[in-house]
Amino acid sequence: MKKLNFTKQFATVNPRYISYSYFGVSVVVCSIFLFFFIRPTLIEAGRLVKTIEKGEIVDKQLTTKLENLAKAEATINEHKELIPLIDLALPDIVDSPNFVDYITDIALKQNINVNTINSTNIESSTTGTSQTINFTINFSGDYLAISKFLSNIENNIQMLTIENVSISKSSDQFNGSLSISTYGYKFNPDSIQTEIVPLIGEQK
Amino acid sequence: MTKSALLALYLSLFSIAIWVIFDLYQNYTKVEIPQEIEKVATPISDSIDVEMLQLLKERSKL
Repeated sequence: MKKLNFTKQFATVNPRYISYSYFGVSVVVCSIFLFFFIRPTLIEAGRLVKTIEKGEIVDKQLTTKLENLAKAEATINEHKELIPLIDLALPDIVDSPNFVDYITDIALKQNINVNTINSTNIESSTTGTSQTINFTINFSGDYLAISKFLSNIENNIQMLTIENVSISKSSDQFNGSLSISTYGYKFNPDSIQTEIVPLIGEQK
Repeated sequence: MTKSALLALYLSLFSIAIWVIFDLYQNYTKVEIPQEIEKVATPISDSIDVEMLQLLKERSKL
């Protein structure tokens, strides 16, 4: 059996092919490195850079939000003493007996006879956060007293809508009918989203 | 190894390099903040409309 001498055979190969082979092997090795090592490294670096940039943007936004909240808080503190007026204007839930007391009280002051007060059409929103109650008040009195009575109701701080006013004259006095809608608002803490989300978590 | 085989290898390397660069550009250059984070982090307005409070104040004096 003839023994092959590779060194001798290799020496007879054209040097150009040898250099081609070296270059080809280098290209293959580079490709493998590029695909299996450099690419994952670059991807990881890119992911980290992206996460940092995202964190910086969120941080900037949150800082602005905090500054704005501080300014808003300062504004609220400036007007703190006026805030209870909101509760008067738009109470938690319309308190019918209180409203009826209020009407009868101002009617009494203006010498108005309140004949009937009916509360009708109680509406609540589907979320249970607001309420509307309609009142129909039948009253009688002289013209000036009725005028003052209506003026008092109009200037009441409580948020209300005068739906209808009708006044008719009988023999010695005026008879009136007044339809009013009053509103209430109930704060619903469940309506505020309190979900905590990861701020700087990379979503793969 | 012939010249054409070498050229094929060289083109393969070039293609892989281009693909890696494109992949990185496509997936890791645009910063997109998820909607739920954006919702929490969006700054709010710093101004509060106090006009209504002033109106209520005037009305409460009546």
